[in-house]
Amino acid sequence: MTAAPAAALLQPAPEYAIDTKKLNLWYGTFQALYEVDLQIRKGMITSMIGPSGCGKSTYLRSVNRINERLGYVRIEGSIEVMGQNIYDSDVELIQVRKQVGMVFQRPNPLPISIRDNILFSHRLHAKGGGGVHQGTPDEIVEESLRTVLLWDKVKDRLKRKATELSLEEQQKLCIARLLPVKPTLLLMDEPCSALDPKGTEAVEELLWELRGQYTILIVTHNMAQARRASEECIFMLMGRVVEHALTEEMFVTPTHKETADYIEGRYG
Amino acid sequence: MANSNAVPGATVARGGAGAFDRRDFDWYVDKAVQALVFLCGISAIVFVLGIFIFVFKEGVGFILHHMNVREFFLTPYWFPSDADAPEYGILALMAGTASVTGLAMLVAVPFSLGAAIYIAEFASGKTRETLKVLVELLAAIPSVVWGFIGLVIMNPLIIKWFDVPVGLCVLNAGIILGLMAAPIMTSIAEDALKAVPDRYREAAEAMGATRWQVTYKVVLPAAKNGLLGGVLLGVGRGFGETMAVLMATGHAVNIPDSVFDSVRALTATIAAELGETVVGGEHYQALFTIGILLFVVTFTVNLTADLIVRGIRKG
Repeated sequence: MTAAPAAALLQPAPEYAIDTKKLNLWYGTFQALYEVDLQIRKGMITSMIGPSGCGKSTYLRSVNRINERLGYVRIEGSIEVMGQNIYDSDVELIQVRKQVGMVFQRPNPLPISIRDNILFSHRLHAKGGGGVHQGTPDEIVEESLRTVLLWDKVKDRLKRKATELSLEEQQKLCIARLLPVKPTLLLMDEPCSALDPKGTEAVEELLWELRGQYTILIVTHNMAQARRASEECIFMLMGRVVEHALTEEMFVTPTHKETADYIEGRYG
Repeated sequence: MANSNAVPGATVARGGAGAFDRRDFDWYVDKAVQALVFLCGISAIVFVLGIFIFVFKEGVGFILHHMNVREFFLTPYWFPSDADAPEYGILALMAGTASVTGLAMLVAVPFSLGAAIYIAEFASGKTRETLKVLVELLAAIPSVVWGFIGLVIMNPLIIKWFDVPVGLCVLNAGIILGLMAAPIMTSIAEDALKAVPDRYREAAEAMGATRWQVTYKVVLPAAKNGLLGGVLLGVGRGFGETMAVLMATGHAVNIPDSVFDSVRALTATIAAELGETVVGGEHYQALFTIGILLFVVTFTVNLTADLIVRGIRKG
């Protein structure tokens, strides 16, 4: 399971999906991120761990700029996604969010039909041309739902409200609806915390399926999950990145004492 | 709903001189307050029933002895003070009320919906709070003031702009009533929009939807029941409004065929004529019959609105 990424690491020039430089972030007067430098490798699953309030969700939410909804967020530094700084003044927020899909902690399908949920984002971006799925709506719906292994379960009730699905199905749907606009990056903010172990396993398997095709950055509270389901791992503490390594290395031979203590459950 | 208040939840051991059966002062205060708020709570029911019984009692004599249903509802001749053969046809009055309320809704619905969308979805911080306070203030303006505006400002304006002899008409009253209903509808519509969970907005925005797309494609469909309820409450308000309508319609019994015709509303008829009638007389009872009609219609409209609004809260 981890042999392929290890081999990939040996290649000389790794490609980065996200390149973050000296990112500082304030909520009002409270500084939530300090000098964050992070390179997230393309096509991999990278997990972020750390105690509550360490800034991992804040970082994640600033990668598709959904943080700005709050209105009192201030940012310094840069986040380059596929080579372009998404905080440049001439960047269109809409395009950033098309490229960078986001899955939230609590499944949040829109209160419309399953089918319309899948097509929602596609309809938003189809006019802009370029880089969206070119199939018919029916093909898009089927392909997206097949990708998240949901098609067989819901194919007979596509017109039903998405909010009627189970939480696990809702979360899969929330992943599926990002795919028709062909994002390069999927951000997931504790995507399994509302799910039972079975649902968690199903979503983790799905992530593993999507690996390679998409770069996935996943925030998790569940260390076992980070260990199982990611190739690289980032440990954050008090708004700073403490350690960033291959998951297997971090969990076996962490280089920082804080990391070791956290992994062993001495705090957090 | 009454029972849960009447039967206290506290269980106190009875009989025996156990360690737990001491009733202190706080216990009695609690019981007294519970009884008091219970009375206040059920007073709403008492008042609604009381008013209905009163109105019905006063009007029922007319319904039983004098009313010709066909004549009452289907003729436009309202001559209650004709000494020889009084006529009680309310068709024209209903047409007056309906036309004014209808026009008022044409004015108020888009206006208040727009205002609510701005306040709930676009404005932020101070702007939003200021607007909310102002909307509430607007809702508190007495209707006679609105009537006055209709009489003194709108009337000459309509005469001047549209070159008509009289400016007290459906148009005048419709606009005045629309402006009156708008603040309440705005408040209710804004509540309905606020009731849409924020995670829907967040989800849509994270997918790259603009504010307007979020509003149009997600928030409005999710809030549609609440919005409809708000509109219905506005209709109920328009239907029952008296003073402004009395002042701005021209108060002429007439089935309008243009917005520049003067009309007379059901409510205004009662307000204007009740004082001149003989208590208990035929005319007096006829007015109360109109009152029953108004009561039934507004009650139905409000109840429907309420059920619709509650419907979404559950769903």
